[in-house]
This record gives sequence, structure tokens and C-alpha cells, in this order.
Amino acid sequence: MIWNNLKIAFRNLWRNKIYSFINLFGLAIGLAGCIVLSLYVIDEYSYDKHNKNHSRIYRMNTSVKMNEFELTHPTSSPVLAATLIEDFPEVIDATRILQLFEPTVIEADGRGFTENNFYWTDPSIIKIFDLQILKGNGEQSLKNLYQVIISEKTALKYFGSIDVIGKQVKMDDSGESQAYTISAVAKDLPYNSHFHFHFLTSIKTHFKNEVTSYNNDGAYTYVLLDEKANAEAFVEKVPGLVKKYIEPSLKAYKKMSLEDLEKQGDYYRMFAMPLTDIHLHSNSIYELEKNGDINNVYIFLFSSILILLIACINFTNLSTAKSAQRAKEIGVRKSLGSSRKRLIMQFLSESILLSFVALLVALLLVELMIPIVNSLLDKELGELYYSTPNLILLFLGIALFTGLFAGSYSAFYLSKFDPAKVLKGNLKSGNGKSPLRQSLVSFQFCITIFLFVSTLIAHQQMEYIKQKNLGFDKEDLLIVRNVQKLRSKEVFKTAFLNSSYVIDASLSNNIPGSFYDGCSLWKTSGDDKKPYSTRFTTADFDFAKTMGIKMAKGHYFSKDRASDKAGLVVNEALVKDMNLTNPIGTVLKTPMGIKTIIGVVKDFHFVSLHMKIGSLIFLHPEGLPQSHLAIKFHKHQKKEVLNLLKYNWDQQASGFPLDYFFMDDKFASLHKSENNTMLLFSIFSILSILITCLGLLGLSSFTTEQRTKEIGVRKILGASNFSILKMLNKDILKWMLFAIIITSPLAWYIMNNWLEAFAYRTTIEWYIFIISGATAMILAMATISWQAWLATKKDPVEALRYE
Amino acid sequence: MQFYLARQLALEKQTYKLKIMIITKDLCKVFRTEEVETSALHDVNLHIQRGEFAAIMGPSGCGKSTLLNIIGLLDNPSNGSYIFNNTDVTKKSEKQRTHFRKGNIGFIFQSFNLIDELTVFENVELPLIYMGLTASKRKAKVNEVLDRMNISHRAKHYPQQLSGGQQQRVAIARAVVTDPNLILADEPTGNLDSSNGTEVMELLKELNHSGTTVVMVTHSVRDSEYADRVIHLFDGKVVSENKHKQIKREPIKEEL
Repeated sequence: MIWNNLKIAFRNLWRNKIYSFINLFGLAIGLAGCIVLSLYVIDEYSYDKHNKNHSRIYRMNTSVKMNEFELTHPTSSPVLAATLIEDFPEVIDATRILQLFEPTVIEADGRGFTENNFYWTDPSIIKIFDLQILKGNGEQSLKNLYQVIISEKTALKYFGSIDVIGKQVKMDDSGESQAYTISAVAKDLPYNSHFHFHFLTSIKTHFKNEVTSYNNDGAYTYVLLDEKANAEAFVEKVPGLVKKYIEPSLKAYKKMSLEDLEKQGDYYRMFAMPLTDIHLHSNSIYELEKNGDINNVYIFLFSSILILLIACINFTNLSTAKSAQRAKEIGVRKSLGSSRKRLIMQFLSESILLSFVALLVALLLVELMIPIVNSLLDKELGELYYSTPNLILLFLGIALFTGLFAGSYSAFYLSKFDPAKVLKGNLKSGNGKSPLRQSLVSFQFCITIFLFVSTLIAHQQMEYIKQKNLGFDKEDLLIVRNVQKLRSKEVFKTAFLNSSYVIDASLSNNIPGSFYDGCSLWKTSGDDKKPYSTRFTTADFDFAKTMGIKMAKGHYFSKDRASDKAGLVVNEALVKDMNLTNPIGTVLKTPMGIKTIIGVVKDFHFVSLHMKIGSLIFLHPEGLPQSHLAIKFHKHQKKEVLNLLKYNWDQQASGFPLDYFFMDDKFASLHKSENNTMLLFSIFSILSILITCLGLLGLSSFTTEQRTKEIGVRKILGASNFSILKMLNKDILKWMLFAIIITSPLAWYIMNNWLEAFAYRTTIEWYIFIISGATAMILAMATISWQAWLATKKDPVEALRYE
Repeated sequence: MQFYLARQLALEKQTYKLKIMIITKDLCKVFRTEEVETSALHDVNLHIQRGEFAAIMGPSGCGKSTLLNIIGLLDNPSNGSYIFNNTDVTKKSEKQRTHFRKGNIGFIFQSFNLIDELTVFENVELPLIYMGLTASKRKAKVNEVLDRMNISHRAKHYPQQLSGGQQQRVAIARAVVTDPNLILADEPTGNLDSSNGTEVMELLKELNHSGTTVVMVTHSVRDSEYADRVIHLFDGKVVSENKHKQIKREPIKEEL
């Protein structure tokens, strides 16, 4: 019977080629989109699960609010690890990681490499993160100072071999070159790990004496719980640590108790985060690596379901619309003794067959889509796709469900036909005006318009961020790193200032987008004794000029004014934060001594646009370190300046590798991942619109076919082609208007919430809704009119000849 | 004298021209499919006068409906010429034919061809909408014609709710609502029982008496007896034309 069903199913699909094609193609796109998006979601959820201990590992996070400054960061005090082992019997091991703030340069075999993933850690990292040691002795390899474990890929990159035990690498350590001896080679952590080390060295190398203060909170602390431990109880106990260990130092340092802090609306909290939550639920700017975003996962999961739903609706619509065509077959079968159940089985076999064929097409499409998605999201979905044979079961499941879901309505509907009526031919069905079909179509348009609106708004936000005035001029700005390595950075700078290609050049310790150190400030007059936190930087006298930073009040440091040495330049955010009514001349206490404010710069974005501009102070540059040279050059002279840079670097660097970038590229890369997510989302919106239009095309070709007689009669009575086009479009326009009215407020609400997450956000313009609605309407009308036009071209006599 | 005769002849020709509504000359229609070429009409020459009631008879497939479609400006002939109301309409575009048709020709079909989604009133109103009449004028005209056809009590019903005879009356109402000069009926009683059929034929006769030209295709000899003239078609050719002048004057009421 199944074979018979399949045979008939296949013939039916073959006979109605256009409908089958539309169904097949729509379902295939829907399934492919769904599969790719589920691969993405599965991949995002797979992070850190490769670690056999993953369910027992927690990271200690800190959440702080001080005045205007609010931050959750994934680090805690380096003392905490030992404390946790001591205080909690369930914690059987703990490890800490310290990372570099800025990329450093590592020399190996006489060559230099820019390196970012150099971590200081405890030997227990090997056990906790299940590191596989390929060469050397694991546990012993971090016992002594200046020993390093190198990752397999890094060893191959630096030495071309993994037989590197005993070899040395040199790294800059507080201005001195320090040699490290390789004691082990470890396998790289898989791509779906929340961090990837290249070098691991003992944390003792960093802290020459063991730290005892809780003031420092720069360590990533991970604990391993006992197998029998009650993890929930542990998580609940962690916040209590603050009272016991943090409050004493808070009292000593800020003269405040935890209660005082809470009273003024601030807080200091600590919490344990499961390892497997880190990738999707932790998005601090201080993560070891940029993590994923649970919201993206939800958005993609939701879109994949929507896309599949749209394809299923097409299927249901087309098959019920086609019902009149099949009514006779159903009548004959029933009168010959087929039970309703058997008919249902037959129709379901048809839809399941179709959805399996669609799955085959979808798998081909997936092959094409994976490289695109990989490059957009910086993923390796292919690895997941090909290495997990069980996934095919999931896909088969999705296809089976799709077939059942899409086919069930029409199966139950068609099988209900009364054979007597059907055979007499007075079954009135499929005139294209069924309310169910029309409401399903308008539901599809709700989805489409929603996707349209949200894509447009998201796009507008990205543009807004791109176009936003950064407060400094990022164009034609070349940044050279590691200038402290040169024989003379001043000579190097002068070489550029003397060039006709260069407008200005400035040496500074930080540049916008890099890491800024923080410190505290105090007022020296008035009752306000509380500390204010701020970021600080040093930059030479040409900095404001080179960066195009404007002064709001006072003046920037000048070489010619000796009095500037005791001065301080601050930004507007600080003036506002500290509530300084007359900033110029205000005396502040800083960790660098008592300073007087001589100038206020207008706010500029010194970190990513995801964050509000915080307070910042500029210290007088004399005698302070500078590691960056910023070069402002004339437009269109990029190439010349680069040649000049290479020449001058070789003159000064004695073999140290050159590391440079253009500021506009850097800012573009800061938002690259959002842009790519955005692009992917747009692609899926377009796909959903495509499927919707495909369905509408099928439905309208069917509707016009059904109304051929009516169109013929109307034409004989003198209707013009235009009035017929109008008639055929009228219904759908009504439903679309309904869809627009329903969807717009919903889309506004959801997107407004989404925008709330941005520190700087665009406003939702009313015309976005008009554009989306109009576009959807034009697409729908074009689809329908195409079919209708063909119908009006038909000879009315033909239409009436065959009854 | 010769001059007088010539003038008389010309005058006669002119009045004849005015009296004649439909002239077909060597009308041919060929249907082509990929493989077969079927000649539906072959050199048909017809003159139908204003106010005439003509019936076209013949076996199935003889070209009756094709001829009616060409006369009704729904179709163009393959060859020959067709003069309608003194205008050569042989090679008119579809748009022009629609224009000629509007308000001039009413159609009645065997299967009624009412639009299922529209009520009786709306069905009858349709041609008036296409003629561009205002709503109040349309309403007046539709009500008047529904009254005349004796179906005004059914105005708000849908076609499926009516009997066959009632449906055909609606179709006739729709055909005459524009006061056409010509009514073309394609087997108007084909789907009706005999009493409903007679009713429809009586209506057509009445319309004819009030001055409307009627051309009707029929299989029924009895229906053909209502006509002034019966044109017999066979294999696309006119084989004979009989006049029933007396029948027109003395309808066969007694027979019923």
C-alpha cells in the first residue's frame, strides 16, 4: 500500500509540475535556511562542551557599580583561587589566567611575531581544561619561572616543528627582553572553546611575590568542583564571599561598608558562571576572546522557524487551492471503497515524499551556504556538519515533521469531501477566496513585513554607528605600534613631520580603541571626599592636533608653557561626572600627585561605540612612556606614507617587526561582526520574502485559473484589462493592509527594545514602515498582476468554451 | 430616366444599408492546433436585418457557436469580412471590439455564465458599471429590467439559490439591461426544461417585437419556430435559409 501511495504521489507531483516546483523549491529554501541556522545554533551551544569536566567548571565574575560607572567583568582577584579551595570543600581545584592588554612581540629563532594570546596561569590549567600535552612533562612544565607551554599550531608557526622542548622565545617584559624556555607542547584548544592560548607561562613569572590584596581584580579564575558536589549550593554561596573578603579592603580603601555602598545605589557583587554559559551569556569588553551572543542565537532560531513556517504555509495553501482539481479523484476513490484514513495516508505520503525530495535539494543548498555563513560569522560550521553524522537524523526529523505539518491540513480537508456531491460536480471549493488561505497568506506577509522592518532598522542602526561623529578624525590616520622599541622614537617622529605627505604626527601611550588604564581621582575642596574612577593616558604635545580633537575649554599641553607640567587635561565626561562647575583651575588629587585642570577636550570615543564615553584624563607627557605613533597624512597618499614608514622603521628598528594599522580600518573591524550578522539576517529576510512570493505566485496562478470563466464573462460584458487587474489585486491588497497594520506596532515594539541595548541608538523613523509595507505590496501586486495579465490576455471565448 | 433609376437604386441601396445590421462576406474561420487544422466556417455569406429574429441551426460542431462569436465581436474571422452597423469590424483590435460591443450587444448563454460570487442585482449591474453609469442610474435601470423579467424579488439572492429558468431570466436581464441593438443567444433553452424554455423564448420574442435584433443558435426545432428566418449550417457552410414570416406574425401559442 505504501508503494502504491508513493507511486501515485510521485505521479501527482509530476503531473502538476509548476505547483510541485514551487512547493519543492520553497520547501527546499525553507529547509536549507532552517538547517544552516540550526547548525549555527548547535555550534554556538557546543562551546566548551568538548571539555570532559565542562559541567563542573565555573568562572568567577565580578559586577561593580560605582557612581556612573557600571560594569560586569569576567575577572576577579588573583587571591580568590586559593581562597575558594580553602573555604569550599567542593572546590577541588582552581586556576587563574592573566592576559596581555596589548599585543606584544615575541622573538623566536631570530624572527619576531606579534602575539596576543600569551597567558600567565597556574599548572592546574592542564587538569581543569583537559589540555593534551604532546611533548614534555605536563604537570612539571609550569613549575619554574620563565617556562612556557607552547600550543602545537604556534610551535609550527614559530619553529616549523613541534620538537621545540628546550628552545627559547624572548618576550618584552616591562621594557626588558626576557627569555622563556619551552617546557611542553600542548594540543590547541578546539575552535569552539571560549579562549585559545598560544603560550602559557607560570603566573609566578608575573607576580614575583604572591598577591594578597583583593584590590587587584585582573585574573580570570576558574574552579573545578568535585563530582559529587552540589553545584547549585556552590553558586549560591559565592556572592557571600564579598562580605568576607572584599568588604575589609573596601573599608580600608574607600572608607565604606557594603551597606554604605548599597545605600548610595552602588554595589559590588561576585558570582560563579558555569563554563558552558560563558560563550553565549558573557559579553564583557574584557573577555579573553569575543564571545557569541545569546540574542543572536534566539534571533536565528526564531528566523529559522519562521522561514520553515512560511514554506509550510505555501504548501498548505497550494494543496487546498488545488483541491477542486483533485475532488473528482477523491470522489472516485471513495465510491470505489477507499476509507477516509487511507486517503489521508495517501495525501500525507505525497507531502512527506515532497519534503524528503526538498531535503535533498536543501542539502545541496546547504553545501553552497556553509562557506558563505562561515566567512560572514567567522565560523567553521562545515567541521560540525561533516563530523556529526547524527545530524542527518535531525534533518530527516525536520523534513518528516515539515511533511506532516504542511500536508496534514489538506489531507484532512480533502479526505472529507462528500463523494456524491463531488461526482455531480457541484462542489464549490478552491475559488481562491477561502478565508483560511487568505489569512495564511496575510500571516506570511506579517512575517515578511516584520523581517523587512527589523532588517531596515538594524541596518539603519549600523549606519548610524558608522556615521556617528567619533569626536576625532579617524580618516587618513596611520598608527604605528611598539615605537618604544626604536632606537629613538623622537627621531622617527621627526622623520615623518619633515615629509610633505604628512600633516602631523604624535606619540602617545594609547590611541582610540586601545586599552586604557584606570585610576581614581579626588576633589581637593568641598565635602565630597569620594573617589572618582577615570581612565588615563599620556600623549605628546601634538596629540590633539593630530587626532583632530577639539578643545571645549582652556588649552591643551604646550611645550612652551612650563606651568603645564602640573596641569591636567580632562574630557567633558569627567567634568560632568565630577560635577565641576568651573573646571579650569580646579585642583584634583591623582595617584600621580596634585594636578590642576588646564583644559577640557570635547568628548571623543576612545573605546568602542558600544559604550558610553567615560571620564578620561591626559597627563603631561614629559618622562612618561609612549608606545604609539599616530601619523595624519594628506588624502590619497597612503602608499607614499607606507613606503616612508617601512624605510624609517628599518632605519630605526634593528630587526624588530613593524606593526601598524589605519584607524578607519580598525573602527570598521570593531563593528565587523555586527555587520556580518546583519548581512546574514538580511539574506534570510530576502529568502523569506522569496518563499512568500513564490507561494503567492502559485496561489495567484491558481486563483486566476479558477476565475478564468468569471474573467471571460466580465470581458464579454465590456470589462477592460485594467479593471480585471484591479479586481484580482483588490483582495490581496486588503489582506496586506491588514498585515501592515497588525505588524507595524509589534515590529516597532520589538526593535525599540533591541535598540535599547545600544549606548548610542538611532530613532525608528515612520517611513521605515511605509517603505517596508509598500515594498511588500509592490512585490505582491507584481506577482499577482503577472498572472492576472496572462489571464486577461486570454481569449474570453476560450474561457467560456469549455465548461 | 436612367439617372432617375440610378438614383432610385442608390437610394434603395442606402436604405437597405440602413436596414441591414450584419453583413458577412466569405467569412472563414480556421482553428489551428500543433497538429490539426480545423476549418470551422467556410465562406459564410449572411445578411441580417435590423429587427430580425434569426435562428442558426445545425448539428454539433457545424460552426454555429463560432459564427455567433464572430457576430458578437468576441472573435475575429480568419478570412472574409464582417460589417456590423455599417462599420467594417473585420480586423479590429480586441480593445476596439470591446468598445463596439459595450452597450450594443447582449449575450445569453446555454450555461447562463452568471458570476457565482455576485448577487442577482450585482450580476445585472455589471455591464452598466463597465459602461460607466452612475450608481443611481444603474440602480434604476437594474430594478426596471428585473421587474420586466419578473425576478425583482430575487435581487439579493446568489445564482446558486435560483432555479435554471430563473438563472436564465437573470442572464437575459443582464443582456438587455444596456438596451442593446443586438441580442445573441447561444442555445438559451439548452439547460432548461420545456416550460422554462418556453418562458425564455417568449421573453426573447417580446424583446424582438420591441425592436431588438435577435440571433440565436439552437438545436431545437420548436425554438427555431419563433424566428423569422432559420439558417442551416453544415460543416461550416450555409446550406439553406427558410423564412417563417407567417410564424412570426402568428406565434404558435395555440400549440402550448
